[in-house]
Amino acid sequence: MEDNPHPPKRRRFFAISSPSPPPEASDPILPSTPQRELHGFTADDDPSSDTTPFAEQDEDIVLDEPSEERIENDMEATDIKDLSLRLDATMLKTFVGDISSDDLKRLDDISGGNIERAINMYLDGSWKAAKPSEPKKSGKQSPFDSLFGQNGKRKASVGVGQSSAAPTPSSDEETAQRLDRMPFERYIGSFGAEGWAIRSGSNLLQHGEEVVIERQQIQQVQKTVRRVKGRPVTVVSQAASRRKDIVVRFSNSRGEEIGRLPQETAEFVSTLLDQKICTFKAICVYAPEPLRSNETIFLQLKCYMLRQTFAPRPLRLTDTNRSTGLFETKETEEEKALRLRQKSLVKLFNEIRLYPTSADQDSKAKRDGLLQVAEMAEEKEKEEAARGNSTPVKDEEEPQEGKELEQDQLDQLYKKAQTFDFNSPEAEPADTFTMSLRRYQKQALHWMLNKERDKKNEGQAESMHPLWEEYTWPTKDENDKELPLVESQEKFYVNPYSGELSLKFPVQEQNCLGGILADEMGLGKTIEMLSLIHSNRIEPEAASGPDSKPFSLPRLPKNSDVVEPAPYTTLVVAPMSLLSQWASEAEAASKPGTLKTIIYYGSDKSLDLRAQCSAANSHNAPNVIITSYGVVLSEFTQIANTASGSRATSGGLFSVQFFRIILDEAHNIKNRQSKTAKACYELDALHRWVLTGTPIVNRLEDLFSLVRFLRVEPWSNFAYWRTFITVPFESKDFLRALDVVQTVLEPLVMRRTKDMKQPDGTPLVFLPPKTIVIEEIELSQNERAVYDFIYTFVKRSFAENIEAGSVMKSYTTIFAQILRLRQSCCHPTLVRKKEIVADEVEAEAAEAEAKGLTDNMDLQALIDKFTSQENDGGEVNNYGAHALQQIKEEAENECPICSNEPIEEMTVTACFHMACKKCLLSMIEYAKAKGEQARCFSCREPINEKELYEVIKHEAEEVIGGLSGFKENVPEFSLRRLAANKSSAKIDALITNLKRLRREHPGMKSVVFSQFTSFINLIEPALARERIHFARFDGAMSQQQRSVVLNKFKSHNGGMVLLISLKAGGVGLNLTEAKRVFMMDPWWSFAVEAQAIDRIHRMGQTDEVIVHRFIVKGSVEERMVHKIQERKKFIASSLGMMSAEEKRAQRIEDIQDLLS
Amino acid sequence: MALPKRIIKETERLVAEPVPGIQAVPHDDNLRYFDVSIHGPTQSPYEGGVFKLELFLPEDYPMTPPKIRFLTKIYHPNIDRLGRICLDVLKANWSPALQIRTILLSIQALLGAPNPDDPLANDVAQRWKEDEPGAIATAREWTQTHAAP
Repeated sequence: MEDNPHPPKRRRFFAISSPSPPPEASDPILPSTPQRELHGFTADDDPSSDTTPFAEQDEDIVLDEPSEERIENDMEATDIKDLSLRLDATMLKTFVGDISSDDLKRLDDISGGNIERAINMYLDGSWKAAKPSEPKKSGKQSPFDSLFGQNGKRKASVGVGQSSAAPTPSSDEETAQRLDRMPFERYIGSFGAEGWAIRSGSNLLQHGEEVVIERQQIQQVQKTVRRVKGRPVTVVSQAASRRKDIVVRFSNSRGEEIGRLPQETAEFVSTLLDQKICTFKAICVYAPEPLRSNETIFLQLKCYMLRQTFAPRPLRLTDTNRSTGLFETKETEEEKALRLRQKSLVKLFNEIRLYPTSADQDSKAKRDGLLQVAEMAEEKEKEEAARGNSTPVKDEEEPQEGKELEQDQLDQLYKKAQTFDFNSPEAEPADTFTMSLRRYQKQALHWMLNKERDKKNEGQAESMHPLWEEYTWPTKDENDKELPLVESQEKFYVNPYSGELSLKFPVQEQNCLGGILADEMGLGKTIEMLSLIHSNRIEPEAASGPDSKPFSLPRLPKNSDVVEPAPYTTLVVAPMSLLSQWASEAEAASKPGTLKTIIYYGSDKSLDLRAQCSAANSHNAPNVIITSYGVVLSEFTQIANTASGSRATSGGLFSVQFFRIILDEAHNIKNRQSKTAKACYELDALHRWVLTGTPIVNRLEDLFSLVRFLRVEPWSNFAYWRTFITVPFESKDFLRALDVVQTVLEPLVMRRTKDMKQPDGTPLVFLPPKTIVIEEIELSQNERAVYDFIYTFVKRSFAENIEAGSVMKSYTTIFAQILRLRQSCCHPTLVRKKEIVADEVEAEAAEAEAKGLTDNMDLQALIDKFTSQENDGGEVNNYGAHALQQIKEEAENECPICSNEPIEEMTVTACFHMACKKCLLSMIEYAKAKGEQARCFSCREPINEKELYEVIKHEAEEVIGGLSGFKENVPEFSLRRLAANKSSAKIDALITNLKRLRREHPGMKSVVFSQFTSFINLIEPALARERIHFARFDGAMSQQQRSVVLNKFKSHNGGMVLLISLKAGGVGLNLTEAKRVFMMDPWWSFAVEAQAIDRIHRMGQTDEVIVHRFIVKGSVEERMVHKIQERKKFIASSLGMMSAEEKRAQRIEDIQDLLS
Repeated sequence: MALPKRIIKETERLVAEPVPGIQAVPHDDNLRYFDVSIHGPTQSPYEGGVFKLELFLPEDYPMTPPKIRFLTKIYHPNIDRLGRICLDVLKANWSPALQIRTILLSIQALLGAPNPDDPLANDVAQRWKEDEPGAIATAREWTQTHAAP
């Protein structure tokens, strides 16, 4: 085999732009892949449809069938005699108007049955001059151009054939030559069939007479196609069309229709004919004489493979979708067509007893398996049809398809992908990269560099692609006569999984110059990627050298304005909240000025990336562009919505071919049907990388989407994927499916986990310890009263609902009430706040609230009681300087009650005796409980809650720059009536903790998570009162605000608290500056909290992390933590992955637990 | 149940800076339970005797006072036959600011200054009022019999 330095899959690009195409080769030819042709036809046929979709379809076809020309050029009229009229008359007429049947015949003759050529010839008049056997000269550019120029959308595709500036690798010519050498059709084998007559008479058919096998009339074929396409528009009933669409008739040499092939034969023959894979010639072996209708006729069918079948077929169905935008159903139609083709081929080979000369040993079994799979798919489809579903509906449901993986299966899968060789080679990053990499990170860099450079392993013997089978052309025909040999073509190759055929040896290769970096969260994927960006990049000077070759790859121009290469630019697509983090890490990891980074988001998007990133602008081109999934999607929708679908004119992300694309948190595209995923597939780049901690979230299909983005062929073809993975998996052939997945994953994925041990036993990553402390919070009496009230209410209403059987119906109401209950654990006033509802529940919840809770006077009274204490604020000032002096002196004493030193939250009684706030309060509480008057612990003066005063020590601002020696160490004091400051048990606990932290570890930063932003609203003033520095980060903030906050938090010199809403800050952020975490309220599943904690406890963390979880004692929170979170640990699929229904059922169960 | 910081601190201090004439040692298996011995104050009928007491810190300590009882038989108007002590700071006048140390000192002081007007052992109080020297003699006798070191 020749040494082909380029992936053959790219061949089709070059074939078009060969440097010296024969003059006639520039003819754009309508391709003959039948479903395409007919697809376009369908659209055209429909009177209501305008020509645009047709034009677009057509355009794609031209792009995809480049080598067609040569085939057609050499076509001999004799080869096609058996098809009396190959031209699609109806179609022709729609283009050129009415035309006489003589002209039609002539056109058909000279055009070789190619409709496009025929139209061209007809329009430019050349057909009259042309000799029937010599149609080459006739096709000129102009008529074609003018024809389509009318609707203004054809220009680009016309240009395709002429963009010949690019160098053509020899392999493509070879392929073309190989094709050229092959006859138009070549005998492959024969088999017997018993047809049945549909007419009676004598002398209709004799032994040995040639029989013509043909498909039904055009109109019916059309219907066939519609069914194939899954668009039963005009077909009356699915069942009827099914029967009809496989009918294959045969007629005698006089053209009289004699009979039909039996169904089992017709089934595959029809597909092979429709998709123009084979032609069949038949000989009558025996026919009864006289013939009567329904009698059996014995035929021998000789099968000839058509040459065009071996032309490189487009594999990337996505490409063809580009201009049609978001055609939801299209994909699956094509997938289906492929499946039919594949199945028919396998059946045919079975019939003619053609077996591979080289393939896996168990190819027979494999083939059976394949058929089974294809049939399963059909069964499924039938079932759906029987249920009366129209096909598009099924397509919509497709995202649901694919069973979820069990946890142990996932584990097994990961385990295999994780076999990581600790001795694999390392690579040093470029010197412009300033960070020092750990060993495993250097190994990752080496691997990634290899992936990017991996063109082909020169030395290695080429092995056949594992999915292909090798067949030998038969040397003798059915009568054992020698067949004409074709020079150097003894073999051909079939891919039974996709139905692809090739004359060329299919080399196993991997043409994806990227991969999946699936290191577990916190191992530094970002850093590894940045080191790659530094270490493999094209220097502007070098770009003109030979190295630049990859970038001059001729991209198929979609429009006259070609997608512009951006050879210096890496595009990073990340969730919005991570944009600034990427930018700052990129900056931190680079020597100043070595990496130009821009954030492409919001108003910064005004740049014209085409101009910015082009090779010409080499010195100013940004090295890294960071953008969000949202931007990608919105630009994609914009382009898809313009009629032209032109990428280039937008000047946006889709108008350039990046050097490299990195998708961060790539599970964002796990659903292949989602628009975001589709948008990402369309981004163009030389190298494609995917970063995710969880390549498979819960379905094998999740992985497909990544693979498709990476364009790892053949797996990026869903038909492949389906045949090989989805279907076996669904039919419980887990081992096989997972084995295949592993084969797919192995070369693509690098994954290490935190707990991996290096050979010497040391962990891969050393993370300082993490301690999680659950702090039980005791509600104050008033808080408890509010809580109890709501609790009884909720419990009663839930019980009523259960009794009435309306739990599911009033789900939102119940859920809103539970939410309220949880909120009352945080702060009683939260319950009163309307905004809180927006935090989690929909509008209906608010309605429920209006009916249920808010109008209740009792509750109002309770809350009033709680807040009333704030209003009778007395003057603190009557305490005078003397008291303050005394307090100051005693400030460092130990608490006489709990012996803490110094006194925590020092509080003074009316008689100037000091103790911890907590101690004093519990003392008063204790006395109250016994019905006694609380007395001062020291002087036994009566004391009460309202006359306690908190001592506020205003610590001088920490001196920045470590010059603390100059700090004036005279704290100011003031007193504040304790009652006025009554917040909530949880806030108190938080403040107590933070103050202790400030005292014990001055300057330590901490992060506070709560799922209720309105609770954060209440925490803020409490922190402000204590003069604790804080910043806030929530989902409502703009990207810019977020980055300001994060920078402030990171750069602040001294202690600081970051208040984060659990949902906004749960993912991606890097907050290793903080050492303490406070979880204000529990979430249904601890995984969500754990992920939030991992923002702090991740690589880069240098100190022990202590996590405080505040849980109210004897409340739903306690049950959430101990019952529900415990249970969820064992359920692989947490709530986020279930369907809405399941989720609800699960939640109801949870609620039942909570209220039990 | 973890031991509150206060109890730990008190215990440490009792060991580190013991009060003359008073000893309090926590049990190994229950750190809230103390073996206490108090020397009879000089110039009191209890001089020369060493009195054993048991002291228990209840759950609510220091919100509630410790529970203390004499184990050694003692003839005293404010201490009954079961060893229970009548002392205001152990009852209504308890304050969380008081500690084991201060309570034991109060008990020692009580030995030096019996208060027959607020009796617990009525017969003893009666005799103390009617025949103080006789009562003191009995007390001294009991001390020698029961509280000899």
